[in-house]
Amino acid sequence: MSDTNVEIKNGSGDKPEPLKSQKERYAKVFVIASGKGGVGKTTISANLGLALSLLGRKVLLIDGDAGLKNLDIIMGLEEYAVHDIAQCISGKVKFSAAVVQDPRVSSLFLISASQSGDKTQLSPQKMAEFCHELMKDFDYILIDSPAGIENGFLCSVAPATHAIVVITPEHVSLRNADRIIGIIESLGILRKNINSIVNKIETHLVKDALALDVDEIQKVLSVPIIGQIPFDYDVIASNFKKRPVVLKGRSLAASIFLNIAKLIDGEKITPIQVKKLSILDRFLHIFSR
Amino acid sequence: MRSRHDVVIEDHGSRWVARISENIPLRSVTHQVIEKINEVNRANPKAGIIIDLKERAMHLSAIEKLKAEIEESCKISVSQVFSNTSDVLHQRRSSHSLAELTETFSYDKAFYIRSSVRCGVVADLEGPVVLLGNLNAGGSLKSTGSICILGECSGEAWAGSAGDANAFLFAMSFKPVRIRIGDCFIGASDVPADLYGGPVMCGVTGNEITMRKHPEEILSKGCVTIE
Repeated sequence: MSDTNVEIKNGSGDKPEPLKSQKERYAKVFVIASGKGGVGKTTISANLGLALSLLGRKVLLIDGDAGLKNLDIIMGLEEYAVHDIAQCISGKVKFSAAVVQDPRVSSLFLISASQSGDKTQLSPQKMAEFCHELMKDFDYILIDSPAGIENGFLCSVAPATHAIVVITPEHVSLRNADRIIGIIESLGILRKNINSIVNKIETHLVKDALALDVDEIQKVLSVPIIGQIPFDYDVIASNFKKRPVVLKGRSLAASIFLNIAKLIDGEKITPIQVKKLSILDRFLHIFSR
Repeated sequence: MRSRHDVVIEDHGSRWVARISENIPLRSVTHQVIEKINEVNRANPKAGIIIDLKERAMHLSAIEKLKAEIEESCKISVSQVFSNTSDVLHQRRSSHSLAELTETFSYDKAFYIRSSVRCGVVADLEGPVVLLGNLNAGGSLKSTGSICILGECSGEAWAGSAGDANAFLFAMSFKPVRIRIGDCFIGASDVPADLYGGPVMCGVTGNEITMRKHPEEILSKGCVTIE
């Protein structure tokens, strides 16, 4: 699509290593899914998108939750999102009119979902074609999938080459995530391209055996856990203020999101493990940024 | 891009083992595998072949079709398929006695499932089954023969699903939601605390499922039969 050629202004200020030359660019398309609602898919999509663009990558965020859009609200971009993905796919508006460029990080773009339509207005085939056309214009496309395994989820998975399954340390979430991974595999995403993020970890609950341990989750899901995000008031506050926590900087969650983004971007670093973080580590993480 | 390593045929004495890379597009898997098998089998014919699908996820119907086409085109018997999914081939039914367990469990004819049976998956098989991964909570593994789970059994397993009370079930880590053998069943609350999470063998005695901690006889035999 020619009208997506928006100039990249580097978000972080440092010149990053190019992923590929402009001609060879071919986006990795990630679907952020979970099965269960309320685990933090949208928050993770928003923050990962921002973190990747802070690394200098050109990122497109797509809200796949037709009828219940959230991503533009969490990103604080609601006022700019005039058109939605359904209008764009149906050809009613051009991509350039539907896409919103983040005024804070210029290499981040967003297409929101519609608030009035329902989950049947998109089809997996159309969504796949739509994303395929955009792949040459971005480094990463992140699709925020709705909860459940119905049409909205299938549309979000259809164009994806990679998947991130979000889970909270509880039995219901684990079981749903396990089911989702099975479905994602059967829809053609290779297992090596499926990762998971454990969100809302409360270490005191894990210690009291009232929440699942990360190792236990890893054993059941059999996919790598690339991120462990503790329950953090900063995240709640950031969502409330419609300003993703990554932009706050001095926060443990922000450090973890940046760590995950670097892992996704191919940097050979170790994922931050919440249970190994002492109070001193938490401070060091804050001040090392 | 097609690579010469996409289908690797290994010589394992009396039979071949074909390891099929996930890089081959699904539409050309059959063609490439048959071509490669014919190439090696013409020079050095063997009676059987084991197919290892590695990380590829394939549906039951696709696996059956692949097996039939290999057998027909290459004139060779597909003795085992290592599948990444729980969609597996039908095997000849055989019955087992718990007492003669180590002698009668036919590892050679068993179907091996490399990965875990995930939540929501219902695997309904015939013959002995060896699950190399976990039976996750919400997943269901059912077979007319005996079942050997080398990972954690947290779901629902049914050995001897056609009514064979001589079938048995072994799990390396026993945390089931429900176990059925033949027409008998037990629930999670029936599992004694000292057996929970450990290696357990289940069989039917009279009209009841009996459980005992006894992993040695299975382990000493070795479950993976590729020479």
